[in-house]
Amino acid sequence: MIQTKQIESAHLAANLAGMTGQRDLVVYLPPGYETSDKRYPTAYLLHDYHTRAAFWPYGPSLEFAAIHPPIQDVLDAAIAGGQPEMIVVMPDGWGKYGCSMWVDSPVNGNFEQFIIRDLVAYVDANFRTIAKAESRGVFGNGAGGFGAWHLASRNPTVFSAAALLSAESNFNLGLKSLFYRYFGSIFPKEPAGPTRTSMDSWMVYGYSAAFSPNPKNAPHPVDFPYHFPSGEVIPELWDRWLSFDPVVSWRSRQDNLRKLRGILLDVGTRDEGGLHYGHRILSKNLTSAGIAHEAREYEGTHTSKMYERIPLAYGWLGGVLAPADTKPVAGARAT
Amino acid sequence: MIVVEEIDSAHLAKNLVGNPSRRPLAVYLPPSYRANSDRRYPSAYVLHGFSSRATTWIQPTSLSFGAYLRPLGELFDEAIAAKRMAEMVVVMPDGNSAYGCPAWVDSPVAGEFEQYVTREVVSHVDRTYRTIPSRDSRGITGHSAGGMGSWHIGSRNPDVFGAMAPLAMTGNYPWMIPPIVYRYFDRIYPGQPNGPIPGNIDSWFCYGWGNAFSPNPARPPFFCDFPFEYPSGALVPEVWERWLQFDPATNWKPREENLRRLRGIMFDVGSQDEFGAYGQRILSRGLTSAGIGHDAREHTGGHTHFLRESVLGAVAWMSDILELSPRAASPAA
Repeated sequence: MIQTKQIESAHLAANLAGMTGQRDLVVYLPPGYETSDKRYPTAYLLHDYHTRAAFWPYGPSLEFAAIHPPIQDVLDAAIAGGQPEMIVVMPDGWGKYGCSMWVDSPVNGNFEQFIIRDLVAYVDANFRTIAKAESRGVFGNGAGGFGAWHLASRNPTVFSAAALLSAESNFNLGLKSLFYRYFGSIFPKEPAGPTRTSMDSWMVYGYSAAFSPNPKNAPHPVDFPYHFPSGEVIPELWDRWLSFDPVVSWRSRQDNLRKLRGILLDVGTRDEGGLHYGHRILSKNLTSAGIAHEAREYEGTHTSKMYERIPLAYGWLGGVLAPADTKPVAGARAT
Repeated sequence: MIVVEEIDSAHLAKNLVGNPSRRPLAVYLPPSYRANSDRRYPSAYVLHGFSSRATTWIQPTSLSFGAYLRPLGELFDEAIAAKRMAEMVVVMPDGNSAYGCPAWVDSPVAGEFEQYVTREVVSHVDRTYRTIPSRDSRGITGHSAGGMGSWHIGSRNPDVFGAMAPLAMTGNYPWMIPPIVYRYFDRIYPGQPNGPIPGNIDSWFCYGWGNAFSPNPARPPFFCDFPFEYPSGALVPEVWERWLQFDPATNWKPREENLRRLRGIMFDVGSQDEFGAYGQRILSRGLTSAGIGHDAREHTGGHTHFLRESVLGAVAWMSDILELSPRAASPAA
């Protein structure tokens, strides 16, 4: 069952995009929820770069030339197939130029703070969750996979497991070439904001709003880590970007990562952005440091098997998180 | 204000691919609708494209193929406040099918979408909302497959819709269709055609349009014939003829009398449309040669870059063309 709520967050109200602090929140309650007093583990599902929370329950339609089913159908089927029942929480991560990447930014709002402080407290207060990190995980695809990494690797006392589906990673490959592609597409004109004919243009501004925001710049409050038109790297800015890159950031977060109950890396071997290399590098590094994780690959592109991989990641989280507490909740009654 | 309801359709119940007969219907009610309990409004019907649904139009701001998509209701509210369009009721029906939108035509395989729109949705809307229930105050538009659908329905039902504004409607099929089918054949060779492939839009077009233009109820599980033989690529003339009957570049001829009865015809397409602006240009040339008045517009950009703005432009255009208030003499359609 799907419930759509509105949640208000002071952490999001502070932004330079003219957005309010009020956001859609989509919550999936498993089939047994209404007829039991049980508490459930919680899986936070983060959307990708160009979509919104409100898109999850809607469907079926064609997206990326694959039938996009309603998320409740996908999760119902996973549970009917034997996966554990969990509450799935789907927040909205929209920023000024697309997805916020789920990080704190003066441009988009503080999405990390929103989730680990406001959202988790709201969900635990309003639904029968098992309100502890051991029973709380996070997953997502694309920008949402990156967000799952960012949140769990920095907040192990909030989330104890992360499943990264085709997560943005290895910025030196994909995101560097993104800038060169974008510069090539506009030269000799100067960068002047996103345009209708270029997804790249949205992503250079959107990623910059997340990784190198600069409120002093108008009308686009960002810095690019590459100089236009020479393409020369601006090391102090690119270093800030790389500090977010999973293939780099794991090193300073090793202690956090060791506290997690599980890490899943899942990616298609024909990812258009080369994210299978990012996943492989991250896996190799984690292995060398003795950090337990599971790395999966499948034949597919960035999105071609998205709705097959989401239920698999859900099932993996269900196996890793501390299971449903069967003790009845004092005072709670089935409705 | 947007109302989303679900309506049942007998015409869509008749299908072979498991399509639901209960469909979402999104309806935009203009700012003064609530406060003026007597006022009646003209209505615009907006048909969605191949990969969308009724509710796609009203979802929150998002990105798609680089375009920044805002909910249609917000665009209408702004345009009405700025007096760039009159207040209208805007009706967004659902035309989704198992293999993508079948261009809003009647199909024994996908369902009878033309009948659904012209009979069931129109009568439901006129019964439920304070519309002016007359063809002179009712127009139809749509984008891509919805552009095809608004052309198809608008050119065949002048008693229902008094104006039409197909957007990015595609056309000129002898040029447009073969590369799509051949790309699909290349993708599967040497395997056999076996339904749409996730991640391969060409395959969805082949089966989606096949369900619309050359449905074959005797051929499960996909119930369509292809206009090209696999793997030779040889044209199958009797199937191809059926597809061409849906090509706006040429099928205007037998509908000339219908077209002359419309209060207005408008087209809009991106000059860099991936499906070509040629369908619209050829159609416009034909209509001009026949002396059928129309307004053919082009904008810079591809198939989807200005999708929502072009819909707003079409609805605003309609509000100039349609009767905005009930006329005592006007016979109800």
